[in-house]
Formats: sequence, structure tokens, C-alpha cells
Amino acid sequence: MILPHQYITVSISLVFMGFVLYLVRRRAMREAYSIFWFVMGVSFIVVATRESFLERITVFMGAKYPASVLFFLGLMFVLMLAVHFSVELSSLRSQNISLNQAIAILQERVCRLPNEAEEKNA
Amino acid sequence: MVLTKPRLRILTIVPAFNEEATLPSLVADLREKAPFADIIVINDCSTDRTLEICGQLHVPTITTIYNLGIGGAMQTGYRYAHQKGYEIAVQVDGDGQHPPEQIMELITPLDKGEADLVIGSRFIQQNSYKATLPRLVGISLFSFVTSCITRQKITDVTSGFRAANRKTIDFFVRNYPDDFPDAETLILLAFSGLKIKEIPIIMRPRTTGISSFNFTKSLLYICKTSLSIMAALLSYNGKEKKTK
Repeated sequence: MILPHQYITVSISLVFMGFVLYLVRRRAMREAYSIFWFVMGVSFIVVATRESFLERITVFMGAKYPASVLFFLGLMFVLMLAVHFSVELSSLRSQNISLNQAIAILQERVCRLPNEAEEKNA
Repeated sequence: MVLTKPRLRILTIVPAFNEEATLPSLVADLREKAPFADIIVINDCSTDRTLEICGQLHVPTITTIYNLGIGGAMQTGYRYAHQKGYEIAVQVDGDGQHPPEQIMELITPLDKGEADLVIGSRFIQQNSYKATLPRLVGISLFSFVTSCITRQKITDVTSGFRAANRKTIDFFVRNYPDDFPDAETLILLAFSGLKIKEIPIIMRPRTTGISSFNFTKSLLYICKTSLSIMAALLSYNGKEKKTK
């Protein structure tokens, strides 16, 4: 028998994955990042439809309530995501600095071009 | 003092952030006392009249798109030196504390092949330079740590008066920390097998403005530098000596 909360969880997960797909299609999100969210959506569906799965994990972890395990796993996922974004941000910052430096050097070159042309003509 | 290679192309890199008061005298000094070197000012998005003054002085200036900090600004200078094929790059701070008359002494060891990076140290000889106590403690601590790691005596790890040869310029184009680069650059250089040498200099007192090092920055400096040193030590696995 399918319980109402399972309907709700599966529906929300499907809508969420649909939204992620929409973002990928509109190129608002890169495919690589969407994988994280699809994994999260599928995990929610699995946990919602196979409650025994969550119970087994709860026993394995020695926890008292399946809900607290769910919260713990969710928190771990968000933490992992935050670390991943820190790595991405660091890489973007390095690239940004390189671009800044390259543009600044080019600008200096462009500013000097009229003088160089004048010297050549003279 | 005469260089063994008189046709050596030398660039003086002057990182400047809001240095409108000191730049005119510094540029004049550099032109008078180190006429053998070209000058490039790295205007790190100054909010005062630094850029305007550089224009009036007809000194080549690179203006960054946004403020990069000392590390990013210096790396811009090294990238410029690399692209323009300079054999030596000398860093002279825009606050006018570094003595241009000692640039020749700074580049002589590079010319003779005795070192790949020469640092002008304020602490080899007795001079009138007076640092605040926290700063002095920081300099001594990191100089000691850097000396232990690089296995050579470094007395002034924070000195910005430095001269780099082509090998070091190439290295800095690839590796230069954004914030508080002093100690980390020395450790990275030493791990890459590049030679560092210190020579005594007499630093001038700051005439205008105030040092950007406040209490918060000093704390940040200690934390960041400690972490960078640890990261450099962990990433060093004996295979880093590629540059030599």
C-alpha cells in the first residue's frame, strides 16, 4: 500500500528533478552540477518507496530514529556540496585573477599603440 | 659596480595602491639612481590620483580591473616581464621605503649567477629601521620557520625589495600566492631548487601614509602564512625540483 507521505515525497522529488532538467536545458546549470541534484532526487524516491532500506541503514548506523538518519545524510550531502563549491570558487578566483592580469597588460599595450605608431611613422 | 652582462634587460616593478604622494619622488629617484632599468607601475585599482600621476610622469602603467592585493599585483608585473622578455625583475614598493640606489647591489648576485632571487634584508646590518613589536615578532617567527624549511638563513622574510632572474620570473608567472606571498614564495622557490640570497639594505622610513598592516591583517597574516607553509610542506614530495 502506498502511503500519502510517499506520494508527496515522490512527487516533490520528480518536480525537483524536472526543474533541474529544465535548468540544464536552458543552460542555466551545467550537466556536471545537475548530477548531484539528480542523485539527491533519486535517493529521496528510493528512501520514500523502500522504507525498509532506511530502516536497515538506521540499524547499521546504530541510530534510534530513521528520520534522524535522513537528516544526517542530508546534512552530509549539503556539506559535501559546500566543499565542492569552495573548490569551484577557488578555481574560478584563480581564473578570474589570470584574466584580470591579462586584460590589464593588454590595456597597457593598447594605450601605448598610438605612440608606437607615431614613432614608426616618424 | 659594473654588470658582467651590460645588455641585461632589467625591469623595476612598482606595485602601487593609493601611492599618489610617494610616486613622483620614487619615479624620479628610480630614473636618477637606476637608469639602466625600465619601470612599470602596477596601479592596483587605486582610488586616489595614482593613475593620473603616472600619466603626468609618463611612466608605463598597468591598471588592474579590480584590486588584486600585493600578490596579484606583483604577479601581473612578473607576467609583464615574462612577456616582454626581461632577464631581471626588481620589486620596489610604491611607498618609497626601498632605496633605488641599492638596486645595482641587488641584481649583482643574479648577474654573477650566485642566486635566482635576491632579497634586500633590513636585519643583516644594524640600521635605523624600526618595526612595531607585533610585526617584529611576526617577521622573526616566519624568518626562523622559513630558514628551517629552506635550510638557509633568511633574516627578512617580509622584505618586498627583491630581484628575480629569468628562471624565477617564469616560476612566479605560474606560482604566486594572492595574499601575503612573502614566506610562501621563498619556500616554493627553495623546493623548486632555486637559489635565494639576502643582501643588507638600509630601508628608508615611510614619509607619508600608514602601513596597511593593522591588528586584523596581522592575525590574518599569521594564520594564512602558517597554513600556506603547511600546504607547501605537504605538497612537497621531493619531485618538485623541475625548474632547475
